[in-house]
Amino acid sequence: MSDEFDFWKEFKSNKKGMIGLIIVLFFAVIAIFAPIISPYNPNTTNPALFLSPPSRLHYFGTDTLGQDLFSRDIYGAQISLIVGISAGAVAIVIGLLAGLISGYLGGAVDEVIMRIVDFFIVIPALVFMIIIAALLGPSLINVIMVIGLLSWAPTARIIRSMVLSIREWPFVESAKANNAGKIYIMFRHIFPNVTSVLYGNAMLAISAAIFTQAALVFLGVGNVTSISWGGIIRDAYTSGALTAGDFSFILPPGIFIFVLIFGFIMMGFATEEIMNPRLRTIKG
Amino acid sequence: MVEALSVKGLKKYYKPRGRFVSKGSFVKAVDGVDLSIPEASIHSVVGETGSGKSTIGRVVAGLIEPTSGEVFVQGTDVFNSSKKEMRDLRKKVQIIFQDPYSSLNPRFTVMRIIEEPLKLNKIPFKSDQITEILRKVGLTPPEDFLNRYPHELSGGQRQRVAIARSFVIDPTFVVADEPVSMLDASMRVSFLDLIAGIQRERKISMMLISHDISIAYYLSSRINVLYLGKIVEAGDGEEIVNGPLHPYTKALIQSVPKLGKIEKKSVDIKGNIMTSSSEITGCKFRERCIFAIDICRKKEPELVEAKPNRLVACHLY
Amino acid sequence: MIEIEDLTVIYRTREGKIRALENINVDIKSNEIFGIVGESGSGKTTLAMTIMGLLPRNGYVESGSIKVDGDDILKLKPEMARMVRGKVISLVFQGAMNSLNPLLKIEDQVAEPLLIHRSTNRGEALRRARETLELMGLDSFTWKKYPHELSGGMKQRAVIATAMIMKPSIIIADEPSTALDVITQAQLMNILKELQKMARITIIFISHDFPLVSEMADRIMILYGGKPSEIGSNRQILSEAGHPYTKGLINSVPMISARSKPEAIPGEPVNIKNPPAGCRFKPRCKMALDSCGSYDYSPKIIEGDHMIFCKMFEGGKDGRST
Repeated sequence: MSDEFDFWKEFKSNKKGMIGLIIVLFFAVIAIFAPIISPYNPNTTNPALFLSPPSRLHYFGTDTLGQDLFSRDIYGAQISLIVGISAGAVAIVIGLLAGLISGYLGGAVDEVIMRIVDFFIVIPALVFMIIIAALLGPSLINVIMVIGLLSWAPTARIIRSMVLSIREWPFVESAKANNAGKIYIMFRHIFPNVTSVLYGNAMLAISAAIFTQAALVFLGVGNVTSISWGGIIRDAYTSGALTAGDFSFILPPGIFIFVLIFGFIMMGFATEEIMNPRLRTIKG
Repeated sequence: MVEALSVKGLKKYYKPRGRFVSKGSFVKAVDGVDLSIPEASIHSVVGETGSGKSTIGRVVAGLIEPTSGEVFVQGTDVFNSSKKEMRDLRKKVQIIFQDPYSSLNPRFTVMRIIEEPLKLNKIPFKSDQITEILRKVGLTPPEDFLNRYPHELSGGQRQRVAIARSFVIDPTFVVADEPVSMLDASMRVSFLDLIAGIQRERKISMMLISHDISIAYYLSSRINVLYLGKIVEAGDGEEIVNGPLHPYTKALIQSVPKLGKIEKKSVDIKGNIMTSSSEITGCKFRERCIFAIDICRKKEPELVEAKPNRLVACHLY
Repeated sequence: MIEIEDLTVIYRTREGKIRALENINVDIKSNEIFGIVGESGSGKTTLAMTIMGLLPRNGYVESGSIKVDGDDILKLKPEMARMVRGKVISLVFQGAMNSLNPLLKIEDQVAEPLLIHRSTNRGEALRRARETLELMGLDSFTWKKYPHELSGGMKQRAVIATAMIMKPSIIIADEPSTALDVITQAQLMNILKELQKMARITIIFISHDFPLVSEMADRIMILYGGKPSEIGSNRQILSEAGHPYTKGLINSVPMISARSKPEAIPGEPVNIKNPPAGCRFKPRCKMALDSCGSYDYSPKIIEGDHMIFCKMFEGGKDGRST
């Protein structure tokens, strides 16, 4: 499709977008090749190396169990990306469906969906997530579902407002006059015209999910058994690394979270910039 | 013989939105309109923005429901028929929209746009049907256009695509809602000729909606002039243009730009359509009318036969 | 008043350079209504935008000059050019009739350009706004009203008062009546004419609607594909048209009350991204000759300043071509 070709061409010349993409690809490579890149098994404990400082053998030192922090930081990228992308996808899919249905069907359906959206927008999401995660148990799938289910509302709202204007366009009326059903119009006519905001939104949803996941683990309700940046920060915090000035323990995962989120946000901004309707024709 | 279109007592009222609107007040977009169009002819509805002309078109095409009144298109009651009857009717009725930018889905190729009515109505077709209709509307060679997107076409080419979409399934009744008003003035006649050519060849019945009485005169045999949801004058196009009776029709004709410099255009009308409201008593046109007399304030004029085959709603006649 | 010489304007686009206007030469005189007729892609809006210094970022002037009262505004420093334009030229653009801010009183809207140009204080600006409104036939009861409280005709007058507040000597009206109903359009045309007589200003009236321009303009330039086709007085264009495109425009008007059948100009407006060689009207021209493909747009000048840009007229006794 010519539109996609154009998109990549424009994206390449967009600085923000390329910075974001390079950052995200960098972490993706780290996550995928973690077993090759990391010098140690991140789960191998060694009591002799209790909180050892950075050295040539252990670039970021070790934690209280003597596990190599550099290796753990590398493996941490996996969880952040998996949870971020999966939860972002859940949020976007639910938001998209809710927005489409609510905006196109209108009436009572719209009322109900929008009240639910309002509910999810006003509740303190993190508190809610802690409660649910605690109730359901901290498996990876649960964390993804909880984050996804609690962050679709803003997307639903944006999609709904777009649908409200697109459904009035004459091309929709033309399809109606030709016996098109509601499902057909929603998915064939309206959906392709809202995807432009979806991409940007997805990037932002992913970055939010990465942060939320880290926060949940830090607070002890996430999946604490698998290695994640939030978990490392939590370990650092409980071991007193912060007060001891042990920055090689606490800073790398914090910086990684920040940079990865920054990468996705930059991609999101770039996507929105490019997707914004521009004037393609020259008048007069 | 069954008429192509028969509209009786059509009303469409909207409840105004907002909190400070008194109960029971309505925007009367269409307020009691009768129309009939015989088979294989073009009749027009002419009026300014806000006259209700597009509402009539959308009601006739079955896109919105009227508040009251009945609409029969080629014998089918548009609002009291079974689902199957309606599905069959939609295969025969098409609309041409005003704006060639918003009437084509920007994410569809030309081929997909034109195939859509065939596919949606489950009409089997061959691909040369698509190329043939493209050729007919002047998009040649068709192969150059099939895989293009609307944004790659000029405004005129888009409107050709829209026309092709309307005629690809062989409709027997077409609502043309301002089909040329967004086009360059110099292109209008060629589009009107294109539409009229297909109409004559296939004996299609058509309702033309326009704000420009010269377009209506050019394309249609009978003109209905609409003002604030009511027909104020109706008759043969030639007779109306050469001898308008209603002061509003006169103003519409005077306003059409003609060739040649003039010092001042005489437009015998006051204010604009917003000046009058459907709430006022008597004739709804009286506040803009330069001939208004006492009775116009008290009594609303009825649509009467002023001369043979000519209806007018004005106390002067 | 305005002398445009050899003006060429180009847009840079992904598909390459587009020559939106090429070698335009025209003098617009004081106190006349100068009409510019063209279809989409003719360059008519580009011309207005170039004069106003409002070309989009990808557009630039390749060559030529626009002299306003002797000063070439394309050569002046940006601030100076802006000042000249602000004082001398105003623009009434497409859709301007719907451009009033619903939250501002009429007198404040009209005074706004003065305050933006910081040429005066608020009290003085309001005084002048009221003066201008009065000149436009809007009396004191409208001054403190909001746009929605006024009729359409009053709003039109207010919009034009906004354009008049800087006391310009030139108003450029670019498709001012597009999207208006015919009656509203006719009323607006009357207001513009009235104003031109009263304030003795020059109006550059731009439209795709040839009959409308012919009702308004003293002189007319017909643009096609970024090039001129014909320039002349209203009478010359209407009764002594030479260019096949001009004749086509005249014949394609659906005349009301005379059943002479209009004849459409065949084809589509030229695609300026990919114009034909030589005469740009050639693909749609019934009279086209092979040699039109090498036409260099040297005009034939007839009777004063009636100019025809057509190969058929080239090399005639009055032609100044080779």
